[in-house]
Amino acid sequence: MRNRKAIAAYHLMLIPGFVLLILFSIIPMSGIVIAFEKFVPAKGIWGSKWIGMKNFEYMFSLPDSRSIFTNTLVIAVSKILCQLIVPVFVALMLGEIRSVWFKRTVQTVIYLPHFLSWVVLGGIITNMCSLDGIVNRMVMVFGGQPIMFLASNAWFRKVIILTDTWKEFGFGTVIYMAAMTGIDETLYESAQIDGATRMQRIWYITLPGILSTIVLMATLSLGNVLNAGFEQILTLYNPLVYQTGDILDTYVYRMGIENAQYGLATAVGLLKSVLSMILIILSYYMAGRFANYSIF
Amino acid sequence: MTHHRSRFLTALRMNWWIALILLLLAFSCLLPILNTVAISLSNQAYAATGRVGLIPVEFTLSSYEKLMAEATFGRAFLISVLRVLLGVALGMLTTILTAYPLSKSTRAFPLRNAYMWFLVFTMIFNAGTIPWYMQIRNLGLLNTLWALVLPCAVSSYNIILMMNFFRGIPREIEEAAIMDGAGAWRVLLQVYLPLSLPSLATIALFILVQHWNNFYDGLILMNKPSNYPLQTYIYQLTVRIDPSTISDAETLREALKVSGLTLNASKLVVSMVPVMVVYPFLQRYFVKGLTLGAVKG
Amino acid sequence: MRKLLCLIVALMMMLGCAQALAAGDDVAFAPYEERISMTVGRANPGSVDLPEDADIEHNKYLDYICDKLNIDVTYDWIAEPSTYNQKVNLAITSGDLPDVMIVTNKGQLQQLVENDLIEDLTGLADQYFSDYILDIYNSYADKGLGSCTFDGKVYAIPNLEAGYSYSYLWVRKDWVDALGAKMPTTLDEVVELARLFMEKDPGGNGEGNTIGIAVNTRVAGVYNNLGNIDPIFHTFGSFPRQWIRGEDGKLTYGTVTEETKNALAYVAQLYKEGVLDPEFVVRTGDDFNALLLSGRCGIFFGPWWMPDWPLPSAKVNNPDCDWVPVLAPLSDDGNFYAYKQDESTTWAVVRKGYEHPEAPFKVLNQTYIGMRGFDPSVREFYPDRNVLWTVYPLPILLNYDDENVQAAKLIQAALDTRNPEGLDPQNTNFYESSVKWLDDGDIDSWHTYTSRVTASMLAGSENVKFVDNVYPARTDTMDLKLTQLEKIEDETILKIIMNEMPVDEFDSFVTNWYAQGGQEITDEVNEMYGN
Repeated sequence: MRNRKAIAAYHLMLIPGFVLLILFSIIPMSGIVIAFEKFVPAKGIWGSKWIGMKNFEYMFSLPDSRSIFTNTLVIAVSKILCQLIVPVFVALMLGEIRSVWFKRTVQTVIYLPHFLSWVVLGGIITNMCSLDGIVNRMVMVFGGQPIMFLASNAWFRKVIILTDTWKEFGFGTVIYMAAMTGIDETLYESAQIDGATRMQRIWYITLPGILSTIVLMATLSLGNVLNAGFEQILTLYNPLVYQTGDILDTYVYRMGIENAQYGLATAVGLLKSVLSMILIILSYYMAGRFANYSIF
Repeated sequence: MTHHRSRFLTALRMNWWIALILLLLAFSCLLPILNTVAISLSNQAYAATGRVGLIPVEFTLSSYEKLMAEATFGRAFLISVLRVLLGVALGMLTTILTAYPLSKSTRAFPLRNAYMWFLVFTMIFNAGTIPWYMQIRNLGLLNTLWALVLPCAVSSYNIILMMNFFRGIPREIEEAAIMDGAGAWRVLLQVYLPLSLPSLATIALFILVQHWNNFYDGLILMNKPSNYPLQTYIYQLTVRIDPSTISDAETLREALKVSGLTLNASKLVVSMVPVMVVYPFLQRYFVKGLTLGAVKG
Repeated sequence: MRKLLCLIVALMMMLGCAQALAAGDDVAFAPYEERISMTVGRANPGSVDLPEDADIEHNKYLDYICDKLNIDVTYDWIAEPSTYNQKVNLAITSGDLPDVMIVTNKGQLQQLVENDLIEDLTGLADQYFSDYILDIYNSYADKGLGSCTFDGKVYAIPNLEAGYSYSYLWVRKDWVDALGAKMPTTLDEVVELARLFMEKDPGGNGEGNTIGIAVNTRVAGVYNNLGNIDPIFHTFGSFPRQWIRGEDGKLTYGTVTEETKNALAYVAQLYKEGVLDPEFVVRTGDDFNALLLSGRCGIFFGPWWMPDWPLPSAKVNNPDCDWVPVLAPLSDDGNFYAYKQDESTTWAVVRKGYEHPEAPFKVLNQTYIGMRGFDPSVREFYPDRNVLWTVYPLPILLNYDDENVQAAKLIQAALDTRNPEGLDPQNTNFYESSVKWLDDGDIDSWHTYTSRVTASMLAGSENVKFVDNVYPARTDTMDLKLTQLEKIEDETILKIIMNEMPVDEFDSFVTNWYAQGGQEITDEVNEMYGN
């Protein structure tokens, strides 16, 4: 009896959110047909010519499709991994700091690069990586030869991954810090009494306490497995590093500059979505099966 | 005693290391920003030669004056403030109301999984700009404040995050409340929300930042510059020097006072302002143990 | 308030109207008897320097059009340049076309024509354009309306961009003088001078810090741009990225030629020797400018307007620095070769079914009366401001091909006698600034004189020869394959220059280029031009 009343309340609560979702997410989704069309704006979504899987075929028939997919995957996956690991470390370190003032300042400051656009950062990074930039000066102090990092296929991806991690780790840290406040304080108190070391405390209390958030973040980031960071690469790459740095989005963007290739862009988007969905479903079942843990 | 002391020393030493690493990290994050601020306050001619470091050269506020020069600035600012207020209110409402039922187990709420997957689906799939635009147009929202608020009011990402935080709250507390005769709404309002202040602060911050900094939807959904929110207004404020029409020294001198570099830098500073103002304030809620301790006490 | 104003003006107009018509005034400027409305979709011109109580939608320029022609212009939308094509596409998709819309993409123009969404404007130009504007169009002969003529019908009002904005050499003359060197004319002399600058370091940058020749990442083939080293390629008879008509009348893509291979071999050698900026490939536009403005580099290539932008900042930093244009490097026959501009890149189109397809023609007539200074009252609108001409509702820029060159000659003639009589208002401005620089040494006026007189005159030199190049519309194959072709093109050009790929591999690039779609595109382009 009680239960049914509660369920009714739950449905009621969900109404506003789901009405908005239907209006602004589900209804427009019918536009996904564009992926199967040679879309011409003048003919509209329903009047354009249906060409079946041509857009997809084209995507895979590109002479460079292999290197483009490899670049995209390698960069995206590396970024996801770094984005998971670094913020956890930083959050744990922050957790060890007692001074509230210090903690607040550091947290605020590391969140700031998140607001810098890549266009601005691009200039700064280019300067730092230039032949007489700060990085090469350090290289030379240690007796190395200066390197043009952004014009080198050996270095380009590393720079991309490193700078992206630097820009975004503050964001993840905020989430983990919030998760850490949810951990029951009494656990720490009893650990203290039992004489646990700092490492033991982190390992047995803090980490398990935020583990579900870590897993959740990992799963959510699977949705980005084909998003290698369009804006960042666009501002930092040049034709010399196409070999290691040209990704799906930059390629499609270059296609679209002159004549908007909406069909192709939608097809790429759809492909990404399908892949992400599969990965998310997979991780959902794996987590349920092996850890008996429900992510969502 | 000695044992105790050495542990204390280890802890101290380790804290030093940690503090040092964190300081370095923070410093690396601060440098580009200080550089940006310095450029925004420098004379364009010097900024253009790439010689501005952390201190402004030939201090000038002209790029900020340029930002605020037009009557549209005030309007855009107002639209942005309205948008943030409305957006955060609406966003928090939908996030809380959607996340709470979804945080229940399937036993307590049988249809939960169906809703959940629906939500995940909408998070992953979208059909691009054109259909989205057409729908907003068909609803007659183009060129209104609602176009900036309604379509992005539901963030699946935030909902899932919030739901996860809700799940971390011990079941016993809820059960005790139900024993006292509280219904679902009262449990949410009187038990869950007070216990979730840190996560609510986090989500509010995310929504605020998102609304404050989103310029793209203003660009596409607003038909007139006079309806732009602040970030869209700022985005379009480039110094377009059209060499074929610059005829006199006065125009050129004006144009040279501010130009791409300094103006862009000042745009960035503006985009960071609300976070600098709001974040330290919200962070009160992150301080460990505060909320749980209060409830326990 | 504005409505009221318009109403009053309209009443006055109706009185004046009959008079004007009775006086036998030209149809080009005849106001409508009844107020008509015209909605417009266009790009946001950004800051046009209007005072606080006016904005792009409400200002005296719009009132002016309304007063003179009885056309009430309102904006359906004003979109940002960065997303302009997208906004146009959205307007087209949703079927909400404004009465008159600016299109900046030829593919969109084609689409609008093919789907019968815009009015056929054939004959309206002759009928409604003022003599002033018609004369500009006629000066381009067939090319005037050619860009928007499909099957003999005219579907738009195109802009016409002045030519002579090709790149030539810019040199720090103060450095040349300090070293007692002479101004270069041949390619060898240019390179020799660059080496001298690097070695002697007249700018005091410290050893090894002076850049020989600055170059941007696109290297060559972008018209009206600074930092390309096009002139070096041209001395080899190479025109990268341009469609060039050969002696047999056939069109060839300029990158995939033997001449380009030779030029690349030469440039690669320059790069190896360090004469070319070693880091050019990772420099942004701002970085490039910084090289010139901070005095790290004394040689680059760019068109006539360099003194207007970005060079004034160099003067601010160092008043002694003296950038001068030189028509160099010359080819062996003493000529300077260049390619021509794409005349039309923007079009105004009229929605199918709009009752007054001739209205935009009239708006433009009036616009040019105002913006070119023929009506002095316009200058009194906002006397203390320099409002940009793009404030007018239809930003279609019309210039004679040799407009700047002719203007420079007129101003020079006036300067010779110090008598500006007979100059049009705009040139009078330039004249006055030039006098300020020449007679008073006013450093803020240096740029006007140098760009409008010195550099523009130079651009019109007699030994400048233009090759026959075309700007083809996009073909179906281009839509699909151009991105890939450009990718290998950019990659090859950079890798050869930076010595990461031997010059001999250029031949296999050419083979690849043709195989991956270049052949089809070449055929299509040749077909387009009747070969």
